[in-house]
Amino acid sequence: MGPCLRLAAALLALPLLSAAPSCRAQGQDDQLKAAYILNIALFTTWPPAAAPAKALTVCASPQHSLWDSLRELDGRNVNGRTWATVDGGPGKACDIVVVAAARAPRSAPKEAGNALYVIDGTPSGTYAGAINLVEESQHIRFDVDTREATRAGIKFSSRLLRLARNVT
Amino acid sequence: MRLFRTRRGTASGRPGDRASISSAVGTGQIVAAVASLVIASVVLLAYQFVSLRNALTNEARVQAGIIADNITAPLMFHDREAAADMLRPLHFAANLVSATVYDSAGRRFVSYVPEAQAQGVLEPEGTVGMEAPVAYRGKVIGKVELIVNMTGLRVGLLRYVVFLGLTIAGALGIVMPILRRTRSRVARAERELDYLAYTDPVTALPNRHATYLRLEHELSLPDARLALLLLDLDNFKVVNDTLGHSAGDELLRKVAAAVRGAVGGAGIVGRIGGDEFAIILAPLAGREAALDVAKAVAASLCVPFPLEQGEVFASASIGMCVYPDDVASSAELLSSADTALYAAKNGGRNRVVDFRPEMTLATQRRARIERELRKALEAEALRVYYQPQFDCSGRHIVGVEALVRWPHPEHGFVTPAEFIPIAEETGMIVELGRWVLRRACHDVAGWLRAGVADLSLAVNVSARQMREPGFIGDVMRALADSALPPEHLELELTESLLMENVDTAIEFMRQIRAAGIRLSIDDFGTGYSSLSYLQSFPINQLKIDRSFVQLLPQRGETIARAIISLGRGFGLTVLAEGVEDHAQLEWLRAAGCDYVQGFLLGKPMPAEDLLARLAANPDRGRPGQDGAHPAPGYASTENLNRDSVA
Repeated sequence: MGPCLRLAAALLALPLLSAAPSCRAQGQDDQLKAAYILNIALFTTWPPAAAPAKALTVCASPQHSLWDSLRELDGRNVNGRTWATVDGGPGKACDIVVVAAARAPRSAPKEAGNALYVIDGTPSGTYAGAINLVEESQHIRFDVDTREATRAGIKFSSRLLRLARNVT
Repeated sequence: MRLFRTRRGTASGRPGDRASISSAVGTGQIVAAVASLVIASVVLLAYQFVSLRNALTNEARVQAGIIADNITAPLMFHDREAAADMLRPLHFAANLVSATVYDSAGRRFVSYVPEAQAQGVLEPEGTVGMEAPVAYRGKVIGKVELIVNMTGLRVGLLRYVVFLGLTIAGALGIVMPILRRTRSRVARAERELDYLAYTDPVTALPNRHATYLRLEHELSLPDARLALLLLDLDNFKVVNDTLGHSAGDELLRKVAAAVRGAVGGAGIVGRIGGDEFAIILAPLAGREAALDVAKAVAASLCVPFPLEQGEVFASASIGMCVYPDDVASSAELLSSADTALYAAKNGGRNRVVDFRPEMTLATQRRARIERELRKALEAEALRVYYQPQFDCSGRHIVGVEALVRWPHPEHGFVTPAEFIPIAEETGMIVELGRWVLRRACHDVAGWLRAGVADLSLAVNVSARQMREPGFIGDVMRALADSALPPEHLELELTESLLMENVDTAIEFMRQIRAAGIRLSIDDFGTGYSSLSYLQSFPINQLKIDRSFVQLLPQRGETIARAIISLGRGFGLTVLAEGVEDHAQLEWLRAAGCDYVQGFLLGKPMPAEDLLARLAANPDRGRPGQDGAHPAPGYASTENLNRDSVA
């Protein structure tokens, strides 16, 4: 099954993505990745003090291929919080930071706060974030770095960990 | 005791086809035990079925819940591999047929089928489905469906059935010996009860009930032909009374043995009453064969039976009736055999009488007479006639004998020879005698008061009346009520009556004489009388029986003269009855007889006729003799025979 079919199945499986998407190769992968991030968010617990706001702020770069797909998810309810995609410039308070592997920092950001770093793509010696979305045999998989998550004060559900390709 | 034949020629020990209580109880106990065990087993199995089914469905529900909880993430991430991984541990669930996860749109996401199921080893029927929703944080995102087979249920139930069976077998193994013991005890008690219920304890013969059952049984067989012989010992009562009950019982045992010996294999013998036996001859070849047996039985009793107290003769009267030749039903058979027995007894005892239909007519007539006599007595439809008694001149009426007459509204006068014996047998004679006594006392007292005649009144007393405890009281009351002076009343007793129990008779006579009432001996010289009693009996008069008088004057003189002479010797008056011609009267007068009575001088007549005759005869009255009382009136049964339809 290619990503396209998988996407269709995933979108149907997820009540969050009710609209039937058109089958466009890159766009579908992006939508699927955005849906993965949303699902990951559903199995993630932020420290209560760090999430006073109603909105679940998702920081990304408008240049990132996922930007549109993430934006499409705006307004979705994630465990009582509302998905909000914002342009993640410096100094922004983010709950999730989505970064393409090519633009990933060299090392873990110092002032990341409680942000969940999701690195899209295989990083080449750079920071891999707490979640690293990768493509493997045309499947989208993800690796989890629990130390990074712990450092950010974030907890993943064991159910999520069972689905991860690698857990470190 | 072999009582009943189930088929011709065979016999069974039990009355009829009645099932024994013990076997009924045994079967009943087993049926009850099995029924209760079956009911208990069914209830327990049903309970077990429900329990097992509940356990199975609960297990499936729990499994479905666990799967639903674990499958949320793979379903959300649409990770079939992870989902399959999660379902894989289900191979430990033995009863699982399949587990399928559906997404929210109802499409199959992943399924798990155990290898055995996949190979199609188990049948699809007998399965049960269980669903659980897959939800995450309140949102339903799919469902899990488990199909579980009921093989486990069946196996569980089977195990339970085996367990129950073993338990029941064990319980029965403990209880059965107890049941067997109880049943054998009941059977023993039943045998004893049967013996008591159907056996006469004295002779060990079948008793009345058993005999009648046997008779019914024989009659119910197809083409039944049998003879019923009823046997009555003629003198059993005498043996019982004189030698005591133990001698009576001993005699019964010996008679029973003799009768059984005589009957042999031709039939069965039962004791149906005190001294009454029944012999059922079945199957019967012919009437002659039955008569032969009856004669053999009679012959077997014609020998003295040695008892402890001495030898006793036990003759018997036998009545015989053959079914279906003589009668059509068992009731008729019994009554007809009884009728024949009655005829045998009346015919002089110690004989065999074969039933004839005319006997029934006689019996019916007897029954009708008894019924109507009772009514007549109640309605006072009977009449008292008076036969005059004369002094030896034949001119002076000195007394009357009261005689009862029955003018039947339809059949004219019924002869006393017919109704008196019936009254004797049924005991009505007591009431009848009382009525005659009262009526006659009243009449004669009235005549005395009116000065019509100065007569004595003779009234007969039967054996039955004398045995009645209140008889003397009755006599006194009759005298008191009528105001008849006691010396005008004379009671006539028969020899045989007095000889039955001499001491009682003497005591009775003393009381009567003490009251001033006269006594005379009727039928003197005809019975087995002892001359010595003339000394001890306080009597006033002897009556010469008509059988002697009628021989006069050519024959019988010696006896008549002897009686007259005896009377003189003992200071008794003598009355001759049945005087029918002048020669007899002349002879009696010449021989010194005091009083005479007979058709020559006067038949029994109604009171009016007697009064008319007294009025026509101015010389009436009591001439007397040395102050001795004149002869009383008298009317005995021998008079009744001739004079009844006067």
